[in-house]
Amino acid sequence: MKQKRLNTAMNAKEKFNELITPNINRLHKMLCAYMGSFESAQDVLQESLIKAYGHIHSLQETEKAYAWLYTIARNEAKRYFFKHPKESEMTENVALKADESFGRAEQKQDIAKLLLGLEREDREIIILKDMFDYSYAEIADMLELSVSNVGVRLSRARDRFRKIMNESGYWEGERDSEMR
Amino acid sequence: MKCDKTEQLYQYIDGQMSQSQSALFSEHLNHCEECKRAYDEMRDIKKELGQYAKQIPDAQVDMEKIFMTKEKERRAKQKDRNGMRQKILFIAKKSTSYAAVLVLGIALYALLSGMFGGYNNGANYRNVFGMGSGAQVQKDAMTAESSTEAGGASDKQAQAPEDKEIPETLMLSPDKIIYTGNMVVEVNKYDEARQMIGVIVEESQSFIQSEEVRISERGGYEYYTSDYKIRVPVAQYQSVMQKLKEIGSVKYSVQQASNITYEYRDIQGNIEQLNIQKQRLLSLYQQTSKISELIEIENELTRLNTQIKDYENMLINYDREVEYSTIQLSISEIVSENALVNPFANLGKKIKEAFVNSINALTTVLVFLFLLLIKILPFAIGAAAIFFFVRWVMKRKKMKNE
Repeated sequence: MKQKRLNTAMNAKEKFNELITPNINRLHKMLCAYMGSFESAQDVLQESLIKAYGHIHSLQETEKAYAWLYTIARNEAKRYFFKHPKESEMTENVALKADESFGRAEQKQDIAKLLLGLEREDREIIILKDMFDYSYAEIADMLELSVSNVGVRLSRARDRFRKIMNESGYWEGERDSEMR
Repeated sequence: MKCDKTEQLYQYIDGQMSQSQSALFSEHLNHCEECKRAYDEMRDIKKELGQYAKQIPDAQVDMEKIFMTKEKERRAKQKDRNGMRQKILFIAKKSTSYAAVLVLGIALYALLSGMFGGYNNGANYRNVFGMGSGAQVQKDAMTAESSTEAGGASDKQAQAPEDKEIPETLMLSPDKIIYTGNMVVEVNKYDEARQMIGVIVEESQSFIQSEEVRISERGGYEYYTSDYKIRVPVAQYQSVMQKLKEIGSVKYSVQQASNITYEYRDIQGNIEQLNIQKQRLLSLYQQTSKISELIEIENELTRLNTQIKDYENMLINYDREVEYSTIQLSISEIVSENALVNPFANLGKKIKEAFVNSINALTTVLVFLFLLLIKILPFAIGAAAIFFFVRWVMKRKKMKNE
């Protein structure tokens, strides 16, 4: 009995290390961009991983571990937003971190902020496609949508994001220089 | 101008198009200013976002904590569950013992009340029996008292306590006094006592006005009791009382002396008054000759005569009461603890009684519990509803957590 439990524990650890660990960093970055705060992303990540480890036995389609993990993280993020309605989406945080690490920060800060200006649904799909370049099929798995649905949602989200970008004057300088 | 091909543009960018479509759209891009611009924007966005992604610091994950948490949670859950189970067990154990004690108590109560009910009844019967003779005495006294009250105040009603003899002077006084005695005596041998009473009555020239014999029962033993009403010449009253006391052990004794002198004289005076009235009417009767008047006078005379007769009867009654004192006597056999009793007497009957008693007690308890259950039912339903609701909420919360 004890041996069996030990075995399952070992298996769970191995399974986790093999399937989940490679996705952690990516997930973390996605969460940062999505939540706009390094700390909250860290919290959600931790919780998600604990949950993922706790339920690793229920992960059947091992080739879609990323999607499975993402689904958990998504729910955790939702819970986090629900628990901390005021704290959520503190736009400064991630941008500030970015500032410190890079010299040419202002534009990046802008795009991070502008991304947070989007609705969560739009933000999410933009992050998945244009930030991390997941395929339509992969996104469909992660968001539990059909591929064609992903296309529709994505084009709508991109339209809105472009609109926000244009309205914020993100490209003004470039255009000006181009014109000249 | 607005180009409607942005969706195709996105598909083009994402490589979702077939090769021919892709070629066609790249041709379109060369011409359509708007699409070209959108294409550039998207490329820029992708580039910027990609850079942003690289910029974000790496995750700092405490893997050990993740691995530990599960174990900890599992243990905590186990502990929780164990604690809960133990708590429930504890409560169940405790409440079970309480319930057991309650049921036992109820059963015991029912049983005891059923058992002692019999004894109590016996005691009650005894009391009733004792009181009965007492009440009768009071009734007798009442006849004297009521007339006393009718006559007015100044009734010297003296209650002689037990063993306190009424003074000789009082007895010899010319006052009209009615003596009443009341006694309860327990005797060892009933038949002997009866004979002794007969002798006493005879010697004192008294007479027994009434005798009532009864068979009573106590503790499963039958015994005789008798209630006597003895009329004793007033001169013999004290000695008879004394003698009666000697036939057994006195349980209760009361002597009453009602002075009716005033009432007696009152009645005598009334009679005198009525006689005078009668004389006058008679003389009137002789003088008148009118028939209507004669009839009226005669009517009045008849009324007077009746009244005089009534008063005279009253006097006679009083005289009798005064001449013959009344003694209420109750004798009963002693069911002695010292006497050799047969514990097996009426054993069958007793067994039957005991059995019936316990059956009665049992059914009483059952009915009581059933009623209790019905009484509790509404509360139980409410409690159950609350319990299930709470459980549901807890479950949901748990589900949500997971």
